Amino acid sequence: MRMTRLRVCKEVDQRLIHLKARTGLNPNLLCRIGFCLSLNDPSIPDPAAYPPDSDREINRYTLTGEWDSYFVALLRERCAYDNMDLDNDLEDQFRAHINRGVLMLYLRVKHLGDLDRLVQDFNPDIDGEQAKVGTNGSSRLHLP
Amino acid sequence: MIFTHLTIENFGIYDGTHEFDLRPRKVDGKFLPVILFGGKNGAGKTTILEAIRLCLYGQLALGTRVRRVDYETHIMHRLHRSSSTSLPARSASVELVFDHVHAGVLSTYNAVRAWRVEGQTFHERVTIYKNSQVLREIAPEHWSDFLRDLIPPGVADLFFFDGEQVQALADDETETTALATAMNGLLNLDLVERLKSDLALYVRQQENRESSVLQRAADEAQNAHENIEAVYSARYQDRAGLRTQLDRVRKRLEDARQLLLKEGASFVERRTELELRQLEVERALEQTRAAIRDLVTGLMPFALAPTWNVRLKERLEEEAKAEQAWSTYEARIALATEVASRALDPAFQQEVAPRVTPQDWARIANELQALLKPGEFDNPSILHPVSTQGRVQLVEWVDKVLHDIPVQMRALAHQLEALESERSTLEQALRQIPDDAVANPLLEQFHILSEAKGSLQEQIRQADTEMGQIELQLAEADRQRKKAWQQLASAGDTDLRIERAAKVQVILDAYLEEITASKTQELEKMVAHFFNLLCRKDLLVREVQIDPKRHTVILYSDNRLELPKSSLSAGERQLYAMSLLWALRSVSGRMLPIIIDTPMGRLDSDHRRTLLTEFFPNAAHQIILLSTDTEINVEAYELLKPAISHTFMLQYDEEQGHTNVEHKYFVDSEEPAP
Repeated sequence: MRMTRLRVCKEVDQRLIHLKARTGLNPNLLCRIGFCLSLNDPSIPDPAAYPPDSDREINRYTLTGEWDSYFVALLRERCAYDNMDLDNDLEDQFRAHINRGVLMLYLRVKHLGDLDRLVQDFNPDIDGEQAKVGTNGSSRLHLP
Repeated sequence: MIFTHLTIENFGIYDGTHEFDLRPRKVDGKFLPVILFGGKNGAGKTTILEAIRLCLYGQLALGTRVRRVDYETHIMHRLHRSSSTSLPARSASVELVFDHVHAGVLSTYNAVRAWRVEGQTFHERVTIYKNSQVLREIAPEHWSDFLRDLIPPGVADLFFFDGEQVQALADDETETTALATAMNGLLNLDLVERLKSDLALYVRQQENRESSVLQRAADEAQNAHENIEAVYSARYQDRAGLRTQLDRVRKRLEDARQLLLKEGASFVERRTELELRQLEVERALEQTRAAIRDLVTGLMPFALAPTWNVRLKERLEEEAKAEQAWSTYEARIALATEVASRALDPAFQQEVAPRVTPQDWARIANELQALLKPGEFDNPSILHPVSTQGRVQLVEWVDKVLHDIPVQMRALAHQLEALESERSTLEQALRQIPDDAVANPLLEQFHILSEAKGSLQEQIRQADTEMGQIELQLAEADRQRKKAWQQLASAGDTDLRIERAAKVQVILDAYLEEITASKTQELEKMVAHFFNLLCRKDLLVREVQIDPKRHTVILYSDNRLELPKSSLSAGERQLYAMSLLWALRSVSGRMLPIIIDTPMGRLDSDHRRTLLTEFFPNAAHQIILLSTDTEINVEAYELLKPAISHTFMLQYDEEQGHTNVEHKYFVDSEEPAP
């Protein structure tokens, strides 16, 4: 993945502003969370649904930070699973997951404490709870 | 000075003659200072102290304003009454023997004060022996004065005292008077004062004979000075009164505050408390949010895709294995190819086995290559082209994400929730306060007292300013006076004796000023030192300031703030008073014995311990303690034991109506007689 910067769509740009006000987290961190949230959703995002038409341009270096290789590894894993062309589709998928993830995040996080609810939804063993089905229509993936 | 013997005869509950050996014993070349008297209430402990004071001061022992008849009545009531006849004894006496150094010579003095009643007449007789001979240097009519001057009664108050009442010394007024007496008496400043006034009298007498203009000028300057001094001392009294009031208001304010607290209705306190907690909660909230942000900046986002983390880890592990296998395979191929190509090398064939034909070699090579089965193993396809190190790093992160992050996130979220809930509870509680507070009469009282305190402090400040101005006038008058004296001294036409007297007056003034300043400084240091030694709160008092003119003592705490004496507890006041005494004794260098009745007073166990281990063993060369069994108990006795010279046990015999004396203490079963 050679891309060095990325542009989100207008709606996502607005949501990032709102989310920052709710949680006090900066857009880079919100995009990281969004990316992982979207990755966990089994449906494949459509890059065409998120045109890069906002003024917000995000630098890959600050976006992924010290975890760049980790993000790339997860993306490759997901794209391979989705039968994508790993040479040409990665960048579009990356952008699409980020866009979709921020929109999902906007629906599920009203407050900093809600992040914990997300984490616990996906990692239910921590409190000894049984596996839950995620809200917002996305059912949790179970490993074979 | 050391009290060596006390003999009491027919006085109080002592029937007949009782002699007490008070001389501190020497053990291993060291004098043990403590003489311990034990006795329950009414056994005659206080009588010992009373007898010593009566012996030394007679009528003055009861105070300066007691009339002779009252003194005689008092003594007659104190004569021993036998229980069988219930008639008072006809005579009684107290004899005090002491070693005293006078003019560099140690002598033993016996002071005997005897009372006799004949019909309605009362006789008192004082006799003094020096080294067993009737004292000759002083005329008998001055013997009482001799005893009084030996230890002036004002000074004796500081050395022979009741532990329970000594804390009164920490009251500003009492302290000022006591300090003035003690500093003048103990530090020998009164001698200088007396010399000064004698000189003034002398000069005045001379003036009557030989009046001069200069002399009159000097007298006028002296009068002016005295007038201003009178104004000053009046203001001084006023201010002392204000200070006492302030002390009282402070105490009442503290009581009011305690009451507010106790009633649970201390809204001001409550508000402050809530607001403080609110601040703490806000701070903790900010810290928690920051910790969550840190986690989000870290690995937390990845915890939202656990499925893919698990897959990633599995694949990374597979690929690591595959790569490992591939590299082993590649190495094997390379080796076999090398061996095979050497088998085909003619030089090698010739050298190793010349009889093997090239055809055979070709077969060997073919066999070898067949063994390797090339083409069976394809280069594995790798989804994550990372270095071995990169792979290890990724697996490590995945493990953290799957195990640690959710736990950490949970803990922080719980913390956040608890703090937010506390914050809203606090807001609720704070909203409810103001209405209740307005109607509270306790609070009103508190405010009235606070205002009274402020107004008194303001008045004291004004008095201070005014006194400062008077001090300036006083200094100016003093300057004029000295100038007049100097002129008088240098004028050639006056009598040489007047001239010298005037000169000496100037010198004495300067001397008095300097010695007072230096002794005061020394005293300040010693008071702070001893107080901190006795008080278990480390460095409760950082510094002590004593006004050498007004004899007021101000304590400063560690943070350089004035520490009002009213803020000390009763026990701390007692310790403060004792350290003041100790400091005075130490600065004056007067080797007087100390006698303490009820030595433990109102002290708690920690303070008792320091008193037992620090004060009693070190404060004096002779220290006579009059204690009950609950004060110096078994435990205390053990602590004090290394400093105890010997003990007396006073036991009241109810049937006989008199006290018996034994050489032991409550805790001892027996102790050998001296």
